[in-house]
Amino acid sequence: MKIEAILWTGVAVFYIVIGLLYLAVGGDTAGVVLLLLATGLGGLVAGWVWDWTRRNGERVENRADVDAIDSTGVVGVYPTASLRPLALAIGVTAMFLGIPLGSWLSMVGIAIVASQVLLLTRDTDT
Amino acid sequence: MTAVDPTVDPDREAMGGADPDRLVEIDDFLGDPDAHGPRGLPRTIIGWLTTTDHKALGIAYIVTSMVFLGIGGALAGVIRAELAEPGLQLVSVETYNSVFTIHGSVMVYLFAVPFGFGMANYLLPLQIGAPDLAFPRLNAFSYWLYLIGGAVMLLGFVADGGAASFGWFAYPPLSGAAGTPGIGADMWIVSIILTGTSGTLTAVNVIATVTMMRTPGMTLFRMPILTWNMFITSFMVLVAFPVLSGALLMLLADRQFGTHFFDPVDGGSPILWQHLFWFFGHPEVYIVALPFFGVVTEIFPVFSRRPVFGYKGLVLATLAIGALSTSVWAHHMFATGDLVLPFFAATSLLIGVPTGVKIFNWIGTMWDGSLSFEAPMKFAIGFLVTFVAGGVTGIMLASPTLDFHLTDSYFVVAHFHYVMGGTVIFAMFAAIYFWWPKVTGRLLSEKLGTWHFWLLMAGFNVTFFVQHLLGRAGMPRRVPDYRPIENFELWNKISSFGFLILVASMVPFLINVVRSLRSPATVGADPWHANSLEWATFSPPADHNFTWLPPIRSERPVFDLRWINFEGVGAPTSADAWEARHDHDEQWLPLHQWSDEEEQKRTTGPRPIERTSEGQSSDEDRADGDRGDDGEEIT
Amino acid sequence: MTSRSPLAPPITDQADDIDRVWDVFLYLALGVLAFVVVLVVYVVIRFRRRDDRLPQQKHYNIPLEIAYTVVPFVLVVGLFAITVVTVNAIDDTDTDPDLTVHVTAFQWQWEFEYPESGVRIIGGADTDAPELVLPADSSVLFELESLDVIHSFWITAFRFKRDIIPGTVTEFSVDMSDDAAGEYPNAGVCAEYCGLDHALMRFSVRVLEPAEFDAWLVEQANDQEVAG
Ligand code: HEM
Ligand SMILES: [Cu+2]
Ligand SMILES: [Cu+2]
Repeated sequence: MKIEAILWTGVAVFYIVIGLLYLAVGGDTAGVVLLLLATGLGGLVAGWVWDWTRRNGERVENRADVDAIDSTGVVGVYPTASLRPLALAIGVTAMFLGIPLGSWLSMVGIAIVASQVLLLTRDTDT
Repeated sequence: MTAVDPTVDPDREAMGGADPDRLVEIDDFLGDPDAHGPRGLPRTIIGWLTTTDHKALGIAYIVTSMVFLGIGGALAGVIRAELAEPGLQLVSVETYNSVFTIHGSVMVYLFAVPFGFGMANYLLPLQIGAPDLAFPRLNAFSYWLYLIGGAVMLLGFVADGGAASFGWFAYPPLSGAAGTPGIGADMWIVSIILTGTSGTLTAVNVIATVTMMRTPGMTLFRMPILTWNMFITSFMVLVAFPVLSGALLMLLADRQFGTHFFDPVDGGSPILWQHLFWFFGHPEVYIVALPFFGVVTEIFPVFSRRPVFGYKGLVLATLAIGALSTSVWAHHMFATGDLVLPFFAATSLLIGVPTGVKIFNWIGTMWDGSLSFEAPMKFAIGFLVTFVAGGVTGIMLASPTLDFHLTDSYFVVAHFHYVMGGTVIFAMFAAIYFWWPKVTGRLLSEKLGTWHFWLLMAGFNVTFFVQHLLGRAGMPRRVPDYRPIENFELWNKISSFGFLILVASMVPFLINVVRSLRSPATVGADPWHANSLEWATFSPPADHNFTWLPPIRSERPVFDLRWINFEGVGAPTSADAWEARHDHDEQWLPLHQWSDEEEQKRTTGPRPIERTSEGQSSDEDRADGDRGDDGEEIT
Repeated sequence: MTSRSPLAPPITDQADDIDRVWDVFLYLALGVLAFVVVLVVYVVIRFRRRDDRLPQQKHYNIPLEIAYTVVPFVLVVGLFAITVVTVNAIDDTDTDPDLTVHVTAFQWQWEFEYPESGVRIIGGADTDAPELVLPADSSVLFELESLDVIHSFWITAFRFKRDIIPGTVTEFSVDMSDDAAGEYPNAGVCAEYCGLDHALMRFSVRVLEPAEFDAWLVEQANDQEVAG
């Protein structure tokens, strides 16, 4: 994943350069802060990818001369069909809509979200 | 093997005498499409409500966003009808203000961006040879959040006081509690928080998928450009969307909890909102556009029978656009005078360079090609021309000298409709015509497609060209009424008439779709003789996409495979890889058969994603009982 | 000659400059558009499919790619130079103007005040569009203030607008051309959407010769004293 790491590092470098440049020409504070936050975002992902590469080595997917044949085995698990995503979405919507419409709705929303998250973690089939 | 080397033959005699029978058809590798269990979409309502399949969700996204396009289009009709004559005829001022606000918001937040995400859902795993997105349940959650969030915005129309009416960028103090009282405004804010969150989660999903789920051999620089663009778009979403959500939460707090972030009376700053909003807002237009740049970059090579011209340059240009687009935001604020004008003029003009590079890459792809003009190609060329027309006016607006006069006038309305219409309308239809056979297994009529294209081209330009003149002459945007002077009335009439042509252009399209859906699904895997991996599986694709994958030795694995019998045509090592695979296993075309028992499990229980030698969607029993409690874990 | 365009002629020195820049950008834009369209039409005709042969499969042409990166870049640098020079001239506020006009925007009307003489012109809901009167051949400083939401003060004959942000006073100045005198009935408008009757926030502009303007100002001052 070296190339990914380089990509993300490039992102971080770009934003720090632009951020400092913007600061130097007298840019507004909000803009400078946002550009530095973007630097952080790029840096965070870059760091994670570097670390992953360091610990796991280069992945077979990044070599140019391999084939589906060269990487077999379980790579993950398909989740089954589930009603939880829909229920969660309804809960989150209720949570936010409660802000203008009345806190009772937010309460309902929070209850739905909490119950679904709880159930999600206990689902054995995910 | 005859040595035919078209790469060095300037007279394009390459295939002279070559036996077309030795061209490989992908269908020959795939066998019976229905031997692998059910293909296609959920069949029951419960099936739809609970699906986590990227293809079903992709279609849900696309259909939903098209419905929103219809709604946004109807609202545009109201706008154009009202403006056909000076004075107020059709709607009240209040309604008009809600109508243009919701038109813009629906088009941007609920149609353009989600359509791109729909394509990411459906196509991205197919293009990189993956069985699904990295987090299927998160993906389903994103979709539902988008649908419900979108509905919340429209429900504003029935709320007390009507839907939001402060324009799609909601400048405070007008968007504050005093400026726009009424629940509809709060619902608009909530709606955008929800759909924005949905987008952010999808972006995470796309990035994880591209990073972790590529099939071996699919290196980053062999990914189709569409996938690249989705990847870069997703990064931009991660930078931009949280800023919008944060700003909206602050706005909601100002309205509901009496905070004063943006309220000048109590020391807040309206300008702060503008910085935050446009830090999101400009990347947003590229978030809208990049996936569609990807679309046409898939289409030009196929119908020109050429590889993408300057693949790496194209990727670099896209990266440059992605990066630069987050540092141009205040060009929407030139008229405030309260900023470093040269900085933003420079970055805004600069972004024209990588955009120009892309245009020439596309023309370079067609250059020396063998062009045929099926509907996808027509729409892609339509995109190219329209987009350039919008791009050159963008350069004018990037200069504050000119922007001072042009901003907030109909010139800007014309500019962004050329840009957005070019991408989201022309390239979107290009995408629909191109991938329709893959998704449905059916063809669309070329004849109706031609009618659709020319009517759209005419309608689009009649509607929007005169708006440049209106804006330059002094017609501000967001007005239901204008002075009945000189050409104002005539130009507005022309624009409104253009809208009728636009509506007419939808007729052949809808007929085409309905007729096609009623015909039998008989299309093979690769009807266009295309390039990327989604054409290496059935139409519609098998459950979990692939039963088999070709070797990937270039960004055109399917092309390489088709030309495997002609040395020097496809990627040089492709034929070797093919041979090696053949030697490795005499069963080099095994198609996985599901037993009844497996079939039972497939629909009821969790299944490990296993990479087999020939693909990724084998469906073995889960060997280890306590592994994989986390559905998204990739070992 | 009666122009069919509803656009008022430029009446400030800055507007003349802006119109010149507009011409440069416009012709360049049309040139680029025409170039691309011609290329596309050429490609479509010249390289249409004639037989089933595979065309050559070349991926790259580095010199060409560099060329079509560098040429737009050079163009853009040129445009940037033009922009910076002109925008600095436009953005420069005159600290010692011949006349100051204080503009107050509110939902959904304008008030123009001439602080040196205390004259005020206020548009009301039931009045016609208010009229802004200015002297030709003089420098004018505008101070802009809003009582409620954001508005934008746009005089098309200036080729310029400036947003009016509540909580701050924004400023800009212009040099009225010496031949600016005349009536510009449709030249003024609010350009930033500001709520319900945004569309009705219009005003007219009348430019007088300097001597006439002074006379007008005195007359107004007297009238308002009598009335007030
Ligand atoms: C179906 C054809 C369309 C027509 C006839 C149309 C027409 C218009 C018109 C006349 C306005 C100006 C309203 C005003 O300022 O009062 C407008 C605004 C707008 N349109 Fe469209 N439009 C169309 C499609 C689209 C599409 C496809 C998009 C984007 C993907 C879009 C995005 C917008 C946006 C963002 C605004 C600004 C809204 C605002 O000022 O808050 N439109 N449209
Ligand atoms: Cu922008
Ligand atoms: Cu106003």
